[in-house]
Amino acid sequence: MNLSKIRYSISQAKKNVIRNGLMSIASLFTISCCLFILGLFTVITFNVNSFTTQIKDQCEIQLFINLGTDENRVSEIADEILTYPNIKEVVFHSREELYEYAMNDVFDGKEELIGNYTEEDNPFSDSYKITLQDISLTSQTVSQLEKIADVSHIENKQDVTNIVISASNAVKNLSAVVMLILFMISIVIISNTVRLTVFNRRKEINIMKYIGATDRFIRIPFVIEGIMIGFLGAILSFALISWGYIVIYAKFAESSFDVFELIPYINIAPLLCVIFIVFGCLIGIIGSSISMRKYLKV
Amino acid sequence: MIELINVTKEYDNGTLALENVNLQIENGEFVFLVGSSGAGKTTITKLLMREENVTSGEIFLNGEDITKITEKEIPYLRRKMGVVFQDFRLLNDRTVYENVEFAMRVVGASKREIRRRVPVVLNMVGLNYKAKMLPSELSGGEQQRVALARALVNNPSILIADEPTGNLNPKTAMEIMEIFENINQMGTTVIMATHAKDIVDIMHKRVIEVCDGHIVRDEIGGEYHDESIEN
Ligand SMILES: Nc1ncnc2c1ncn2[C@@H]1O[C@H](COP(=O)(O)OP(=O)(O)O)[C@@H](O)[C@H]1O
Ligand SMILES: [Mg+2]
Repeated sequence: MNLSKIRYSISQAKKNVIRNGLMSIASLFTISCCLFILGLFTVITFNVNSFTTQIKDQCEIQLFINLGTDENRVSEIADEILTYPNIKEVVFHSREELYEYAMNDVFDGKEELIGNYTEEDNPFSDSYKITLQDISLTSQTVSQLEKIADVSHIENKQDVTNIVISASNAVKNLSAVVMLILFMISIVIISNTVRLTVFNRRKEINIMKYIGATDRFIRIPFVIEGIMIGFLGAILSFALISWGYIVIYAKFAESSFDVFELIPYINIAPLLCVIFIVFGCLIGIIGSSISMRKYLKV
Repeated sequence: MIELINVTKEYDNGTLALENVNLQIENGEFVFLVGSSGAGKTTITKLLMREENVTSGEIFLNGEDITKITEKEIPYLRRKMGVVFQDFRLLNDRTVYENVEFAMRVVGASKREIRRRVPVVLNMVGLNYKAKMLPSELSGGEQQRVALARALVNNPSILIADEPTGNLNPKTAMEIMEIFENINQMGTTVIMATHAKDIVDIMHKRVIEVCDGHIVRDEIGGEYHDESIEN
């Protein structure tokens, strides 16, 4: 392929898109919608991933020490905890702190719920907040730590974490299925559009064969047509997703919802853009190849 | 040189279109293929262009057996040939110039070559003053000239024409034949399948008569009908 052939192929593809007019626009629109939804699920997957990472990072267990254990022993326990594997960080929370927190934050205004407890009669025990390195090993670590002397019990939120993780896996699987279906729908749409072009140009194709055009030369404009529609669809839907994401991100930032944070747009934009363009072009290439295999016997 | 050796062509539906055909055509010859409808004339041209392939036999083009070339090589075989049909087969949404230019584009000619060559061939067929017109604005004879220009633009060594004057009136047909004659004078081999008795008789070229898939007559300077039978 020399330069003049490539230029000719591209100009032919452009003409095909324009001559197909409404059909091109219709398929461009549908492809954009498909890619948009595809992108939506990609964004959701990204955020679910980041959410589970955040959850995993936050995964802490709380180790409570028997009431009345003396201060030296309490600090000894911290050192002991650190000798076990899978421990990332240990932070001390004194019983006084917990009492303060309960009185001022949790039961503020509802003091009657606490009953007769006073500062001196503090029902809380000293505790350590422990961050783990690998939450999948939580239960092992917990049963090891429970054996330390003077430890009363350990609270862990593993159940919650497990639910979040399996929910996020479900979301990711769903995304994958939806993306696959949309990918295939897009391919069918492009392949139909290209098929129409091949049909419209059958006379020209026939003449080209008599003149001695190679298969490749005959086919390339149709492949380029598919890529053009896929690429334009990618750009359109990428713009739409970007706009939507920025708006939602801003709303999220304003709101007091702070269970997890959305990934900033700037962090996902480059990868998202690449994904869109690759998918768009891939859809175009596969779609047009399919219809040529079927309808363009050279 | 074109050489058909024991060529038999049976179509997929079982029609035996050619049977044991042997034929030699020298470079630069002008050959008429005559015979009634269904005799097998078009089949011979299709085999030469490898639009169809033989059932058995060999076809040599300048020493190469074109029945053995691969699908990929077919376009390059066709570039050595120009083809003209009864129904012109022009692109109706393009001008005369663009129709001719198209043939050069397809084989990857540069813009410069195209700008130089297209006016030359349009001049050869006497149509350079109508370069900007659409086929629908031309007469049948003029449309066939465009088709001729398109067939010639890539300098083929063989020109194949299948009933090129079938849709033209006798006067126009003769004008077209003059162009074929000129092209042949410049060294291009011309192979023309035709029904047109008057043309064949006037031109006094080599006449190959096909009947039911067999060559029944091969005569230099012959006429459409075999005189010995008629008299
Ligand atoms: N594609 C085809 N499939 C089946 N039979 C064909 C095909 N093309 C031509 N034939 C048959 O082959 C015979 C020769 O046809 P053709 O070469 O077109 O004759 P001519 O051009 O002399 O009129 C005819 O009987 C015709 O019906
Ligand atoms: Mg015929």
